[in-house]
Amino acid sequence: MKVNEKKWIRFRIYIVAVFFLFALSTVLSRAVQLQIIDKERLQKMARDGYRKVVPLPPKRGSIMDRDGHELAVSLEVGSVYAEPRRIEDKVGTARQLALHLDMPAGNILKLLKKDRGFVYIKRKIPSDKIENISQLRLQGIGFTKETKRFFPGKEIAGQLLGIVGDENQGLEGLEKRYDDLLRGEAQVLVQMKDAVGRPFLTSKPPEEKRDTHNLILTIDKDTQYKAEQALEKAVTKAKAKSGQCLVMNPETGEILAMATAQGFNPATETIAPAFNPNIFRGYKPDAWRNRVIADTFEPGSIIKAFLLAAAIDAHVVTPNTKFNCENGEYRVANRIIPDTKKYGILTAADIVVVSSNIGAVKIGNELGYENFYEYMCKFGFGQRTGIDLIGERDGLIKNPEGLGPVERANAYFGHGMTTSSIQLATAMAAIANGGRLMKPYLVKAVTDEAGKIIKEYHPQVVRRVLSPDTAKTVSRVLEDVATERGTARHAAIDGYRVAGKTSTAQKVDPETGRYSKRNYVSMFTGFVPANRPKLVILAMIDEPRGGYYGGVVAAPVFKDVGQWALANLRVQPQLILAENDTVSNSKKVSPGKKKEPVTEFKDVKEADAGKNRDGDILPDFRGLTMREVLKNISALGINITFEGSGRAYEQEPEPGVSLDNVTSVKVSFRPPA
Amino acid sequence: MLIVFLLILFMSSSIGYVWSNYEGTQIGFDLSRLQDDERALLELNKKLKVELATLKSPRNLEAAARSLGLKDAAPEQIVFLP
Repeated sequence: MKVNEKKWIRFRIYIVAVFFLFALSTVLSRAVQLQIIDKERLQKMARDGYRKVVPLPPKRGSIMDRDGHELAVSLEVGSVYAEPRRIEDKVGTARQLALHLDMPAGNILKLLKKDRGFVYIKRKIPSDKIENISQLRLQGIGFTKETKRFFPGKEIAGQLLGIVGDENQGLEGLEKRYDDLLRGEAQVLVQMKDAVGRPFLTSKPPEEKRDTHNLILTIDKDTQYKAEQALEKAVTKAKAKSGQCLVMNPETGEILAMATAQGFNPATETIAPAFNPNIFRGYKPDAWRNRVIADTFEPGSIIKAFLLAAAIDAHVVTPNTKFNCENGEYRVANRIIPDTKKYGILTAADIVVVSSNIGAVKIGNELGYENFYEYMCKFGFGQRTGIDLIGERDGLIKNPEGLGPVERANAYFGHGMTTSSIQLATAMAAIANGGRLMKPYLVKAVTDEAGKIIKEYHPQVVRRVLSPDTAKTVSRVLEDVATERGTARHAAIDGYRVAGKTSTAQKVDPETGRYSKRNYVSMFTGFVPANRPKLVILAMIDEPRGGYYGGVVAAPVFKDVGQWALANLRVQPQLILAENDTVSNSKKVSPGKKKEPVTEFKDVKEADAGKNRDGDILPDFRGLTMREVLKNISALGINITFEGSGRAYEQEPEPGVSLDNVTSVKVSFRPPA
Repeated sequence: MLIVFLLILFMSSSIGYVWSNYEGTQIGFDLSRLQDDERALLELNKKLKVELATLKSPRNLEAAARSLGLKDAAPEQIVFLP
């Protein structure tokens, strides 16, 4: 073989080798491009071809009342958005959307003309509207699913429940306080799809980063409604600025109702003309502020009840200790302390019943400010109750150090200190329940999505404030407040023993820094039934016009709410009806007796047994059930004959006769009208 | 004979495989549809609950009761059952 021929063969081999090398390089380059450089894009293309991602709207747990009735629920709704850069016929699109969205076409057009890739046209609208718009198949218009908060009771507990923002976040009230538990996160479902886009396999919903929970409140929606209704009525009648009403179970600290007038509906559909952080759906912050915890004011005369309790508990006075009330004027340092009426000698109990400022100062002087301060702190004044809400205020009670005699005297009748309604109701509950300060709370339980209880909240005793005997004694004194003798006869509830205290406190004028002669806080706080309290009710009317006394303006709210709530709780009416009747009957028998302004203290059991304070006479059984009659007659030790069924309407002998002459009683019953 | 038997076995296995694949896909479609239905029904159930809660709200009940001429019961008209 010639040399040249060999070279030619080698050259051809090289050519082939280079060709294959080039081809291999090309294949490798392409592989690198497909497998490494364009990997993400191509994988996405492939996924889009066989996978469909369905976005699920973020969930939010429900809020329910104590019986499981829904107060706030989130539901799926649709939102319409646009991709303006993809829309060619913007005018036509705006016109068509306007027909279905109740929005002016001009406003929609403005949105469509924005140089943005994405813009919401209208959020959270009903699904039927979404359906109608989707059938139009408009270019560049799309839909997303979101959740919207619904409040089936409208304004019921509006301030308490609070506000949820458009991004599913709690902004106020319980919605904010328990946002961590209530709020869920957006989820996606991944589906496999076939060539024509039909889904045929769906992945399990991914594990949520954040579980949603439901809240079960201590609130009773019916009591809440009644409290709001009675408060609204009183505020309107008094032409007042606002009002508050709180209903609490004194034994547990559970809040059954927390109402603020005027009402606030967090779901109101109002379009604000422009974004304003201080306006929410047409409401200003004043409307959604929960005044029961966030507003503090000078409590006024109601403090006398706690002053008396402190003085009795410290063994400084007894209810029958007498004080000279100086005929309506008493000088402390350079200031005259006035009373609304001229009182002479009054017992400590009567000082509270008739609400004498001078008497309160004298009791306070006996107790000493240091002891008073200590007891007020034990009652929880000047510190947060710890209720599970955001925005609670501390209130203020002045430290004894460096405090002058006038400031001390003022504090004894509730001036120069501030409290919130929740503090007052909690402190009154301590008197009602035998001396224990309970921590008020609003959430009874937390459940998971399926409704299974995962956490329960129980009553918490903060501390003992009074001995049970002191609490019982003060309760008996406070019972007289809601009688003809006291300042709150309008708070009396037929058939039940009511105890409480009124308050009418002047407000400080922010302009002058002095007490206003026009603006008052009128209040009644009490509990019922007085001997076995089931409810503590606070009614407060802020700046009433015309009549402003707490016993006139606020006490009717207590009566309305209490009467209704007691029936709702199925608390049997007590013997006090018959007792009152027998008292009046006995007065007819012995007209010579004159009523003295002295509170007498008898054992509760004695009163319950139907015995009159002036002697043993036959009680009035009319209006009572058979069970109640039997219970009372057994204590008297006489025979009884029943006739009929229902409620007692007639008895033989007549009520009021001396028991010495009675050996048996015949009681006739009939069904109630 | 053996070849015929093996052929039939192969054919039936193939048909069985295709059939089970087809059924699997169909079940996938059904499952997906039923899951959609389930979500829709759960949401409808929630909406109906809200509707019921709205109708049962004290304000609506009171308005309905008053329109029928009902009044608040006086204390003496209330009978507590044991």
